Amino acid sequence: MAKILGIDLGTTNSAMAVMEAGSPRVLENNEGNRTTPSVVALSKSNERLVGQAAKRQSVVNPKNTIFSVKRFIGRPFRDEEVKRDKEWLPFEIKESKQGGVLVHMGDRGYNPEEISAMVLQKLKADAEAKLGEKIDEAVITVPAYFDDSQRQATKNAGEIAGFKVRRILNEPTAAALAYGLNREKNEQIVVYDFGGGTFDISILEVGEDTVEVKATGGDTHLGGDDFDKRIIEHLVQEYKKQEGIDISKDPLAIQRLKEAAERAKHELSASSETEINLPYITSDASGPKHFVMKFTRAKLESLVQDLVDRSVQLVREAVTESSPKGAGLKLSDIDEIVLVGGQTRMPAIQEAIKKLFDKEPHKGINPDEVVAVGAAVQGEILAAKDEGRRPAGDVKDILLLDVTPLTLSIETLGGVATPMIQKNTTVPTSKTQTFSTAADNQTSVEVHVGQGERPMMADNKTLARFILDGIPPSPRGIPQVEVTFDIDANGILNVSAKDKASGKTQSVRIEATTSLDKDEVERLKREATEHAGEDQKKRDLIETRNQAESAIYLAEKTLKEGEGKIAQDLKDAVSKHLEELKKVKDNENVSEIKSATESLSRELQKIGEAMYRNNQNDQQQPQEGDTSGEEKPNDEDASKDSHHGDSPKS
Amino acid sequence: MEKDKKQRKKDAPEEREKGEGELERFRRERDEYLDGWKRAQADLLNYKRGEEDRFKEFTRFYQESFVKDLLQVLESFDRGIASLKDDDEAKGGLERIRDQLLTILVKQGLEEIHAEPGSDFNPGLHEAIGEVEAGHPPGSVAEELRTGYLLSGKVIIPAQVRLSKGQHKESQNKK
Repeated sequence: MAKILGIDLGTTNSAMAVMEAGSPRVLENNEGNRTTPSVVALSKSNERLVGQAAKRQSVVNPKNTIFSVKRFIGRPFRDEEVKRDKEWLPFEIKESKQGGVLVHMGDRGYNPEEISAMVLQKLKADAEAKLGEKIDEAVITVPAYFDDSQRQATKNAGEIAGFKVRRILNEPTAAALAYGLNREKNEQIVVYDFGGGTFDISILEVGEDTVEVKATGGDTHLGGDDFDKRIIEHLVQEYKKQEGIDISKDPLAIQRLKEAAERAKHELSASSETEINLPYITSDASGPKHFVMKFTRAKLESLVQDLVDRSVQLVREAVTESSPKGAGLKLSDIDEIVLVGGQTRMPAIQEAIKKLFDKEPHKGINPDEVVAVGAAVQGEILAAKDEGRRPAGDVKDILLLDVTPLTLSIETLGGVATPMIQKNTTVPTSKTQTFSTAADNQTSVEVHVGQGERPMMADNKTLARFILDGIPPSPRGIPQVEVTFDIDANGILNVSAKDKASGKTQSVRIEATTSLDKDEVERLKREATEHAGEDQKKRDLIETRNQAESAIYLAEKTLKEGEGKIAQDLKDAVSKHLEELKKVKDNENVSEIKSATESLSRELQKIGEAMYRNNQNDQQQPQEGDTSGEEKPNDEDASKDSHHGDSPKS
Repeated sequence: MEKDKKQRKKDAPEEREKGEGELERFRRERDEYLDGWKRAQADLLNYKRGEEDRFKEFTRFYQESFVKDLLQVLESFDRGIASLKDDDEAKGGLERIRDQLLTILVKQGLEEIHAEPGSDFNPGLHEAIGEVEAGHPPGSVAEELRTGYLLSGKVIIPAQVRLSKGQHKESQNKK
């Protein structure tokens, strides 16, 4: 029975777990530790180091020691978050050819997924050594706010590392799964994740067989490390007051103080007072100096109170603010609270959360390992399904499903974003729709795939563009191009277009570097609400213009094909209205374009009626292209569904 | 009697058929139960083994945190001893107490990690906390600032070192 490794690929540290005889087991790495720093380095002797070893030489090799690469994975270089992080990170990053981030290490650049893959590779090798068997498959977790390209990039990292990535799972979903919270239907769950360097909140809703992420929030630059910094600063200041010595410049003393501060923080989770005792911390002219200081839980809490309060405020907002900023729920609607991340061991945090929701949070599983444990549980569910058996132990047999966070659309005539897959659709899912060309003899169409809630594609985020060519020349509206959007269980999108006549197919898998960042998702969601009215106006204008274009096309076609068969007065009237419509169709006045289009259509109808009468008189069959009544619906369809793009040029 | 015999003879093929059917069912059930029993046995063995591992892990975890706490005392002895002059009477006594403590810890599986000046920096055992000009090759260990420790082969504290930046030309010239 092959095992599927559950991996929590963290910003600061990573952890891994497997299911054994129905119970999750957190695996130690080769160094004997249950977590592995997500750090990669190229040492001065050109040796690649991963994990603790990489971290141990970071001080003397800062430019070639890469950490926090998760902050860059799948993000475009121009992303505001990337710009902000670039300022403080000691290693160099550049823009990749695809517009993503390239991390410089040694004499070459690496994609963030390559760096993450090195961490995953170590985890894979260590897990195999520990278990004495090959591990080929993994479930890897990502933050709930990760978009398609970040998920895709994480999946790529797993594959580069040699895994078959069975599932990209949301971290909060994994945490909930570790506590078996998927058993109760229609529950609202808050996951409060205070990691080393990031703070994430997720509001989940457990449905029939889905776990929907209703809202996310937090602060990507708030973490347990900020707590440690506050403690150290306080201790340094107090010592300065006591002894008049500044030990902040002494690296060895600071190192000892850091360790002591961390120890004190842990001790104060269980007791209300501790003593920091560091004999011979330094020395001056009078001889050796010792560091002895009482440190109370009350003091610790006062040092970090603002950080705790801020986290609680962010939770409140994520739960109560209306969508898209929050889940639009009352605090009392929350059924379960899960604590993740080492910092949540702090009693003040547990108390604050308990007070906020008036409920006891779940905290039985080691908060540093709970996400990896959940990933292992998901791995067991998948393995059991493969083997046609029930999952071992107390694991409920449901396959967790996620939903799409934003609507996925295709651009059609006039720059309209035509939705293919609506937001909050349960994945995996697939949708096929047939489109046509917008111009005669158009031999290629551009498929422009976007993500966002706005009706105009220009206001949404472009995920991919590709061209399907080789369409046999035909009148507009005749070719049938079948476009399929397929999202797999990891939320990764594949788009394909097929010309039914020629059988030619083109497809694209959404690439990692061009996707949305979290802020952009939020911005797009926000803008969609704010600009609803404005957008509708824009959409009306485009639709009116499309109708005008169709009427112009039809009028020109009718005049040309009816040459010699139409009475001159009718022809003149159509020509006059045709010119009038051409004049107004590009301005912004919707009602003016509409009325000109209607006038032209009325005149065209007269031609149709006249020709129908003639035909009846002649007892002839209607000729192709002469029946405006038949053409119209086709053209309307074409204007709605045709791809924008190459049509004017072809 | 004769009639009964005849009747039994008549019934025999049916009964044999019925008996064979039952035998087949018993065999199937036997295999099923045997398989279930074997699995239960295997599960028990695996559980025992797993439990042993978990117990070892648990013991090692507590041993490690206890040894780590005691190492603070050992380090304080080292610093205290280092701060005394060689002719200080207390020095020898303190060194004996320190050795006594170390001996107890060694029995628990503790080993010291030392980084000799000039030796290669090994991030598996050492932690670099700075660089300094020194007569050793750049990137090698210039000085050991803190002894490292292994417990049963696992690094619980790496030896903290300063690495050599090599020697600055001016300082070389001065020499």
